[in-house]
Parts: sequence; structure tokens; C-alpha cells
Amino acid sequence: MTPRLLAFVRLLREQGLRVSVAESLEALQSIGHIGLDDRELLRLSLRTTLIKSQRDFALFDTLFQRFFTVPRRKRRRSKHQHQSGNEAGKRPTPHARHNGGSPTSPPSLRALHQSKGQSSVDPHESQTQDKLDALERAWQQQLKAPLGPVVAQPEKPGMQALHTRIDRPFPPDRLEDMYHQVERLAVQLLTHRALRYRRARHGRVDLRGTVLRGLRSGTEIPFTLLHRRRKQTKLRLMVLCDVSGSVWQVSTFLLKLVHTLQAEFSQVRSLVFVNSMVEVTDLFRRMRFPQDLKTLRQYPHLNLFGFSDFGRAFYQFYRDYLDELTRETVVVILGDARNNAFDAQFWTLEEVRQRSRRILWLNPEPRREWDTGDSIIGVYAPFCDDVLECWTLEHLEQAANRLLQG
Amino acid sequence: MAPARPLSPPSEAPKLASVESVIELFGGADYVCGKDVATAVYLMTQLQRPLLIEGPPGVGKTELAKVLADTTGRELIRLQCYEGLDETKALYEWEYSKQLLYVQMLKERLGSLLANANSLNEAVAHLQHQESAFFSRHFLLPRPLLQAIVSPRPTVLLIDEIDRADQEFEAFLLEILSDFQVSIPEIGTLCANQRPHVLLTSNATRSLSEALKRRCFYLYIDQPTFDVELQIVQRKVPGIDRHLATHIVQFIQRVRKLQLRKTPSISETLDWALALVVLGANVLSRQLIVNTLNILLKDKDDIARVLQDVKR
Repeated sequence: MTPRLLAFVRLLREQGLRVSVAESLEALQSIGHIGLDDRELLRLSLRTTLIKSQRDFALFDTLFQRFFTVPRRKRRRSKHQHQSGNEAGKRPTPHARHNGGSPTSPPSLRALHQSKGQSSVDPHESQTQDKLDALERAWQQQLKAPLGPVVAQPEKPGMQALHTRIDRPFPPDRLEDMYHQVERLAVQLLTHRALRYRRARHGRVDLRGTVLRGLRSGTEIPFTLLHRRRKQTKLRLMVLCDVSGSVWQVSTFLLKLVHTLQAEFSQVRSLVFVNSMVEVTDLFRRMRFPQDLKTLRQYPHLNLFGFSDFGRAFYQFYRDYLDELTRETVVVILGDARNNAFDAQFWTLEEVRQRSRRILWLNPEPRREWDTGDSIIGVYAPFCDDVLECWTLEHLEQAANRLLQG
Repeated sequence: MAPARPLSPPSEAPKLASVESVIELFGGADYVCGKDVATAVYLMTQLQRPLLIEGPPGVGKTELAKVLADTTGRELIRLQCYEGLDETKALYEWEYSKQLLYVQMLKERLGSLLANANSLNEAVAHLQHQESAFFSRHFLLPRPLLQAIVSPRPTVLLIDEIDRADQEFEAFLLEILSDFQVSIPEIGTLCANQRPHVLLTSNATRSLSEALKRRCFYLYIDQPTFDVELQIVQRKVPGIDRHLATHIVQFIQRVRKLQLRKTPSISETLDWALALVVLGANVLSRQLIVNTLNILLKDKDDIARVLQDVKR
């Protein structure tokens, strides 16, 4: 079973699931307890030990189905030859035995497997090499054919991912992975932040509390110093996303990022616009990526095929939302500021700036393209506290950092 | 209790010998579970790994821990997580006021002890010898994690709603979960004499760190299927009419398919079923649904949405 399982783990990894060595060891041990007789139990126990997120269940089940099934024709033949009724669960075994000496399986794992006396008692010991080879070939074919289209490319994490341009369209399968990456990025940020948050929470000495505590413990001498807990106000967030075709993709990544960071803000309101502003907060709160993006695109009143008109959208924002702004509100705008020669109405942004804490503008175009053609980012920039490029994951991370700084 | 104690003999509680026996035992405790739940529980008890349970609220994640404790005859120790939970609330704390109280009461004794000290230095040296008396187990206030470790009885440790705690607490948990020992500077290292069964639950309000997930087995409990839910209702609501139960579950299953803010979970189904039994209902009439819907749904818009559906 060991090499078979290792091959399966490798397959999982190739499909982009993260499986550690420790986890594969646990899977092996669990098989020792479960046995191979019941295919369903095998599936459940491998899933329990190897897969740590519900959204990966479907992929796992597909792979399991493909991997632990022998083509029907072969199965019938081997059944016929051995008259073994209990074929289903034990099928992987002969293959494993055959593969046992291959250099691909680490000896330590195999040793463990044997010393534990796993229940993979081989009922096919007498099987000849030829038949095993035939079975093996069948396996190989089975594996080769259908696995390609499940998920195309293995993900390549690390620096390279950080520099991937996110303003270019991705193939659908890569896209989901990118959302994972954005989420991971956000979670990392949160971890760092939690540490700082804790350290910063303790402020000045709380004299009253210290004395009170001293009295309570029966002495007049205050032994411990109490520190006043610093009140940390959470920020409110207004996200204005241009969702016209050219920047749609980056907008969705930003939305995903903000979605993951939601808990860090006391309130998150999201608005999207092409040439008019539409609030999507309700949808956004319960959004699943990327399934619900379609719903977002079809949101009523959102004219996805209009010409981008930042001036008009900002004016609407100014008209409808100015009273909602407070000193704790950070306004994040994502857009390329390509205004199609409409009126910029930059004074609205100035008003917004005066009522809010900060304006952060993310531009999904490389800096050298700013203010070329109909881009009027230079007109809006003076009213923003930060204007950042945003066309790689790294940029997105910088933006998120800036956002969390308050 | 000495820091390191010999392993106590295995308890006589019923053993979870196989996946089927888990289903059976849990069934005996009125907890209906499928093979997926049973497999996960069986493996975690066999391989002594923590089990991370995710799922929508109210599907019986916490209940699973209680039933596990009941059926294996273990003591349930629960740590409810919240934002700002830290070590002193989760692991241990020195009982400061008790220490001070003892100092007060022992003042005279201390006086006589230090009477023949000639200098202040000597007195301090004397006192240092007695220090261990004040930092002993006696003044230690064990919080749930330490309780689970030092408990003489085997335990089930339930870390509830881990997603509410801060991320740093997660990191701290990793240390405990990996080797079940705690080093207290003044006392020494305390080891668990029997590894607790650890269950962590999460409502998935945020994603947990990869490191934590790696160390746990994973179980996702979803809303139950029709058959399972019907079984649960019949077991948990004694004396319910079979027809009524079927109707209730059918209705709930339909409600879950609607786009609601908060889909009703099993606990709400049970509340509702109980209420209907108390009201002496035999049939699930439209009027009855309208009157009692507020037990099932706790959101104004949701209720309106379902009522609209009922009218059709």
C-alpha cells in the first residue's frame, strides 16, 4: 500500500493540494487501523487525514475515484481468475506489492509500514509477474487519460507568484488558485497584525485599578501594576471598485482581499461602478469567490457595458454617501482613471477627502502608463493620500498593509 | 501530584474498536452520525490526534465532543475561545490573592523563622529557601488546558470556536497540542499522563493557519440529509408522531434550499419540533407554520421570505 499511497499523495500535490510528509504518514497509519476492505472507509480516512479544507473535498473525491478504481474490463478478468469476492478494497494491494521495490518509495516509510504489520495482507501473492504487469499497465493508462483536464497546472508558489501580473486574464482553473493565494496573503497579514495589536494594547499605568486591586488582595500596598487597555478603534472601510472590463480582474482580487480582511474593520461597505455607483455590501458580505462574481456582474443598475465615468460615479458617491463618512473611514478606490474624456468632477473627491480619514487609490496600470491617453490619474492624485500601483500580488500586499495601518 | 507520573492503567470505559462501534455507541447516546463522522472520530482516538471540526453553526459540533466524552467515560473539559483569550485564561495563572492571604496569616511564623537572621541579606537567603512553598501547585490556578493535562482521569478537551480566538493563540495552541506538556518556570514540566482527546471546532468565520490544520485531522459536518435529520428528530423528541416528524423535516429541508441569511440548523429543527409537540400538533398546517416560524428563523427578512414561499 505504501508506494500506492505515496503516488496518490504525489498526485494530490500535483493538483495543488498541500499535503505534508507528516500528513501522509498519518494517512498510512490510519489505513493500518481501517484496513483496505471497505473502499468507502478508505476514502473517508484518507480524506480525514490528508485534506484540511472542505472546499478541497470535491477535488479529492474526484482524484480518489480516478486513482483507486481499476478499469472495469481488467477487474472482471482478475476476478474471474481468482474468484476473490472481496476485490474492491484490496485492489490496490497487488500493485503495491509489485511496486514495493521501486526506488521511488522511501525506505523509512516502507519499514514503518511493515513493522506496523498493516492489514494489507496480500491475497494475490501467487499472482504471476505477467498479470501484475498487465494490471500495472491498465493503471497507468487509466491514470494518464482522465487526469489532465481535472486541474491543469500545478501551482508554483513563492516569489514567482508574487510577481505574477494579476491584471491579465487567467484561465479559469488558475483563477481559483489565485483567489486562494490572495486569501493566504490576507491571512498572513492578519497574523502579523494580531501580534502587533496585542503588544500595542497595553498603555499607561491604570492608577485607580492598581490601588483597587491592592486593596482587594488585603494589603494597602499595590503589588501589581495594572495597565490601562488602550482603546483601539477599528476603521471603517469604503471600497469603490471600478468594474469595467479593463480592470475587472484586479477589482475582484481586491474585493477578495477586503473580503478576507473584513473582520479587521468595524464596517465594510463596498460599491462598484462603471459609470454609476452601485452598493453591493449585502451581496459582498456573504460572497463566495469566485462563484458569486457572476451575480456581482449582473447586479441591477450596474451598466457593465457603459463607458467608465469616474466623475459621474464620484459625484453620486458625494451626493449619497458623504454623510456616511467619518474620521474613521478609509476610502479605497480602485480604478485606472481612464475617464473617456468625461468631466473629472475632482472637487467631489476633495470633499470626500475632507470628510474621511484617508483616501487610498489603487491603479491597476503600471506607473509608466499613467496620464497617457485618457487616463487622468494626475487630476485625482492630489486629493488622495496614497496612489499605488496594483498589478501584482506584491502590490496588492503593499496596498493591504497600507490599508491596515489605519 | 508529582510532575511526571507513571501511566495509569487503561480505563474500563467502552472502547471505540471500529468505525461501526463508534456509530453504534454514539447511536446509543442519541447522536446519529454518518460514516464520515465515525471514521474521523475513530481515527482521532486511535492515532491520538486532535480533530478539527468545521461546519455551519448548530449542526452538532460541540455536541459531538459531549457525546464522545460520555461514551468513552472521559471527563469533558471545555475551553470557549473568544477574542483576546490569552495564556492566563487558557493555561494557568498564579492565585495571587491566595498567596498574599497566606503571607498575612503566616506573618508570625515568618517572623520566628527569620528571627535568628543577623542581617537583611541572611533573612533574604532564608526566605529564598521557602520560595517553593509559595509557588507550588497549591497556588496554581489551572485553566482548561492545564486541567486537561494534569487531570488524573482521562479527558476530552474541547476547544470551542477556535476561529474566534486571535491568530497568536493558535500558534500557542500548536505547542500544547504537539506534545501535551507545559513548562511552568517555578514548578517544572508537567506532562499529561493520558493524552486527552482533543476536539477543535470552528465556524469558519476566518481561515485557520495551515500549521494548525496540518496537525489536526479534519472533519466537515454539513447540514444533515433528510434521512439523518428524520432519525435525529425521532430520537431527540420523544413521543413525536412519525408523520409530523416527516413533515417537519421535509419542510426544513425545503427551507434550507431557499436563499436565507441564516439557514436553520438541526438545533433549531429540534426546538421547533419540541414546540410543535408541546402545542399538541398532529399535522403541520399552514397556520401552524405561520404561528411558530419565529422559533425556526431568527431574522425578519428570512421569515418574510419563507412565509412568501409557504403561501404558494
